Amino acid sequence: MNKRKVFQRKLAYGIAIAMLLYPLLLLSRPATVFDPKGGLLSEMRSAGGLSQADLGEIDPASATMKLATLGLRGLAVNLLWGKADEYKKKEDWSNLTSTLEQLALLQPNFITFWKYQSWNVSYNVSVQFDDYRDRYYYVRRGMEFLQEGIEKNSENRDIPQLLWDLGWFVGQKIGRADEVVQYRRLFKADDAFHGDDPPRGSEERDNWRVSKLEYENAIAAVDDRHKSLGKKSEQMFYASPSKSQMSYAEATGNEGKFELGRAAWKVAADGWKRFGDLWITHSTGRRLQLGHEQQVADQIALKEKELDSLSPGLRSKLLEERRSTLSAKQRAAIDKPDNERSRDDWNQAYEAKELLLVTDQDIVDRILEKNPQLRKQAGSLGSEIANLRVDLIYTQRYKDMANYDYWKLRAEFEQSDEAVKARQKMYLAKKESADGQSPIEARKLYEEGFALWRQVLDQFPTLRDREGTTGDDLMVFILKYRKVLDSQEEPIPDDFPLWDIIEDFDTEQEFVEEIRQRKLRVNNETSGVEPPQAKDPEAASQDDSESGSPKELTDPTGKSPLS
Amino acid sequence: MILEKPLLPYFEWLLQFDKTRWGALPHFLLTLLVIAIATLLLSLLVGTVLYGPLKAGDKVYRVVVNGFRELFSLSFRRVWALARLAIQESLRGRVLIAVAVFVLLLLFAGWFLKTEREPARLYFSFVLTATSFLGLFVALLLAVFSLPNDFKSKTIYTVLTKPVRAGEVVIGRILGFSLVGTVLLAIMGVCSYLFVVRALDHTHTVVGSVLAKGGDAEGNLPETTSLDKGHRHTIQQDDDGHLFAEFAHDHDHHVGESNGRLVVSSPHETIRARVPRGGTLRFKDRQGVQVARGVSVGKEWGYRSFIEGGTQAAAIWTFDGIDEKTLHDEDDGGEALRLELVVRVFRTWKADINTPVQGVIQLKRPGSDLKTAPEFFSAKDATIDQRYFPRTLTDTNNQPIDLLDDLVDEQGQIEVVVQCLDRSQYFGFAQGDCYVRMKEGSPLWNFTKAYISMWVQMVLVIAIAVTGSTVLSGPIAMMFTVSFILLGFYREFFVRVARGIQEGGGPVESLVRLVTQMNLTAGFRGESETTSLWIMRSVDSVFLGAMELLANVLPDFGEFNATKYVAYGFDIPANQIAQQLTMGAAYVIGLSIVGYFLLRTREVAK
Repeated sequence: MNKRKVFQRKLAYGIAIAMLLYPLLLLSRPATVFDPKGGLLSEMRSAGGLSQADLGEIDPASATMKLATLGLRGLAVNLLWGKADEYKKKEDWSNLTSTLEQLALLQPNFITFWKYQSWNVSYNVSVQFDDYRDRYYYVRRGMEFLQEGIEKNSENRDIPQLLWDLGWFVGQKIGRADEVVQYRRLFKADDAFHGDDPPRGSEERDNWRVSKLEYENAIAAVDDRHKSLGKKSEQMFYASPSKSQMSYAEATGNEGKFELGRAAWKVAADGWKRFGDLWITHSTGRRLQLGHEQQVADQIALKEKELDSLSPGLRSKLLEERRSTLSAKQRAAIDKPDNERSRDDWNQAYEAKELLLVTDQDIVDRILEKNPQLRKQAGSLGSEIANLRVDLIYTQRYKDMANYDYWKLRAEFEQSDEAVKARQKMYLAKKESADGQSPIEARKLYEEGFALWRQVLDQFPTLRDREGTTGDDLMVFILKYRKVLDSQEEPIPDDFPLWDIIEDFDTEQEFVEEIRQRKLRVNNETSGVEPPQAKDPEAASQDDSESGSPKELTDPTGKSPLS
Repeated sequence: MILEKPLLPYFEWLLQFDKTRWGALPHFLLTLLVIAIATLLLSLLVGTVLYGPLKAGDKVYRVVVNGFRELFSLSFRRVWALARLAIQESLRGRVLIAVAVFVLLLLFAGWFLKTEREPARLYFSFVLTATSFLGLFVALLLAVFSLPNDFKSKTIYTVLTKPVRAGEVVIGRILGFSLVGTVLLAIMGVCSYLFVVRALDHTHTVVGSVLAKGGDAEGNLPETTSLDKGHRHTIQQDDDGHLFAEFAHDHDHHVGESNGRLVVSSPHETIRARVPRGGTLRFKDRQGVQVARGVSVGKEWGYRSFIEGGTQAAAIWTFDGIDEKTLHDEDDGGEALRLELVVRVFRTWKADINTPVQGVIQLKRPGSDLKTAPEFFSAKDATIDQRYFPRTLTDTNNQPIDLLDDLVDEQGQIEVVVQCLDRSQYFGFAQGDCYVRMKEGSPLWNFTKAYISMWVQMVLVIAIAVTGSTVLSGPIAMMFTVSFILLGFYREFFVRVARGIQEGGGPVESLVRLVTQMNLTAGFRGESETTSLWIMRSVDSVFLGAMELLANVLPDFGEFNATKYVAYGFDIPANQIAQQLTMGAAYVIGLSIVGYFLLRTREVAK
């Protein structure tokens, strides 16, 4: 081989290398001040929010670990996840948490990792301990882990999910646990979590307040920084801060800080109203406002009127036509008053009702048929109404899911003087009866409180809706009240103001016997017969055999065996 | 501490020879015999093909006889000379860089290690694991390239023209590199120990001055210490009026006084070496009938089994060799038996969150009804709880009894009975959860023992690497050794695969599952025996057979890991170290013999 040939070959290699370098350059050119976009990889990195854009943000430990795995990061991560599972199985919590720390260094931008493992620590590891202080320690570890994830992913597009999760953990894991009293106390005193700000003793250290703050951070990330909400429902996402505020108000009330609670309910009511005004995207892409159901309904009515004005009298005419198609039996059934209908009548009436239904589309169709010149107007009105109806249905569904009306009412009534006073009485009564020292005082307080509750319920009748939770809350008080009465060997009096609540909300069937006894008494009173003795076991068992209800379901104290 | 496999007594481990288990020595001899016969047959076969049967037999005979002759005429002077050569070579290879890397690692360890509730556990785990890996890595690099480089640079010719034998070359290298490794490990050990001691040492400040330890002007004591190293202590006063920082994060502090201010001492007993004497555990079920295990509460990990509270269910440990020497001298002048107990609590209902589940512990004379009066305790879940039983006790009828004279039987045995009192709550126990606490061992010596284990592991790697490099080129020998190490660390898994216990089948089957993204436990379509399935399984069974053979000579590297003991603050049993040293010696002897014959196959060394 002569020198020239060698030179030629070297030259060819050189050119080939240079040519191959070009695509490499296109791919992996880093972002610089002069070229902020960088190459393809750099662009993808910043689009996915996967890189620490600023040199100052790079975590040296994380970078070292990644380099130290010599490109085998995937393998190392896999091994460590396996190890974490093994440590969890073998209850080696120290090693589990340190393995998680190592994983955090290796895959700091993998959102699912943070979500999964923080949940693991807060929810699965914590419950393994018997002492609630140990449990709390791991609940907090999970939350700190989430905070770490948030810190390392401030530019990640999926960051709202982590922020929202933190709000959820701080709110629900602490505020809805069996150990809620202890957890809330520990959380408030937890300097390791709060640091110096807010300081010890501050009301801002309340877990529900912190939770609300985190939810608001999540919302800010979506609204202001245009990060992705992921697959989370907007309804749930945007309702969260107000829900936390309401839980805060509730919790402060339960702890006896009534004025603080009232102020908190005020804030909650305002927040809930803002939530109602917010445009929320439904999963189908429609935009809805939960607080504006009535406006949509009004609009529909308006449009229907407009439609009717195109061809006056058409609606009643159609109805007449339909009526004439009904069979004699159906017609008779539908004309009968409700309380006279037999089972068959009900069926017939139901069928008739279906047949009699005149929809807007029927009217539009008829107009198109009879007056083709009105086609454009009727058609557009028809589709507008159909569209509005879908909006209305979706709005109603979302409202049901968020229990919108109930919470609106709740926030409102909790601010009323009667409600605050009623709660105060309940709180004091509970305190008096707690150690069983002054049952007479407790009873007096309960009775005053229930009278106030009666006023509240009359003022806000919808509170008695079975969908709400106020009835259930009241049942808790009533149960305690009954305990106080039991200690004095007295039944619940007939003039007890909340019998309707007992009848509607006794889901645990604790008052079956009392309700029955009372009904008997009331019926007998109206018919003038001597009522049976309420607490006489023999009389009760006789009643049972007469009414045919199984004997073992009642016991002489009148309590259900389920209690 | 968790001990899933109980440690066998040394001689049972070494010599046992029956159907249930072959001890280490019979196993070693058999393996040696099998390898020897297999090699002989193979050499005869190859020789017959090359030279014809007669000449082959003659050659093999001469090699074997020569081999034995050389084996018994090893000269320590020549071995030492070759070892020195290896040491010089290592130093030229800048082996000290490894030390620098290690020191660097320790300097920045704080970045990776968060202060935990059990800091000692974490720090020890870290330093021991780091040293172990770094040590193995350095040993590997040193040993694996040495002989191949000699062959490449032809220096081996100079060495072998001197009157040295092939066996001495192999042993000399192993010795030389081991010495270098020993020095390295020693340096790393000293650094590690200093690192841990320094990392654990800390103090706290206490705000507020105290008048004569009786509190400030109003007589109030400060509540807590400052927050340092991720924790704070509650300050308490003992019966004598001395202040102390309550036990938290695995340690406590004294609180002294200096110039009218409170001063917190260094932490106590952050590094420990508890010497436990274990017993055997049996259970009684809720009717009081003897059973092998308690009930399962549905945990995935079956290490502990549970006894039900408020019934006759009990966990009973039997301890051997209880005598005067087992008792501790107590501060009050008496003697006491110290027991340590770990209880795992499992609640089936919440009960009162603020109240721990109650239990009862009693000492009992085996084979008799004599028991001490019940001692009630509140279960501290998953922590080591110390219990003291003084020499003089009372029995269930409130009559005084003597611990040694009345409760220990003629064989020196005593029983410990533990029961749970709360109805529908459970206590979980494993055999290692209760033990008699002997006198504390030395933490420094314990740490050294952990390093001895590591040292054996390193010598093993060196022996494997030197043996491999007698015939293989550098990179290949490295792959060979690395595979040995990896398989050694995952030996248990490897054996499970080889014996068909592990889900997912042999190598071919798992490859098929991997490529077709099939679940480990999913059956193949139709489950009928198609030809392809048959081929796959047949090939696998050949592989599995080979794997099982290999498993017999594979060292279990995991066993050389004593990190667990040190991290949990337990003394490493001398028996375990003895077993490891024996095993290490056996491997070095075996590998040297193999290495000698392999080197003899090279043209130059004949």
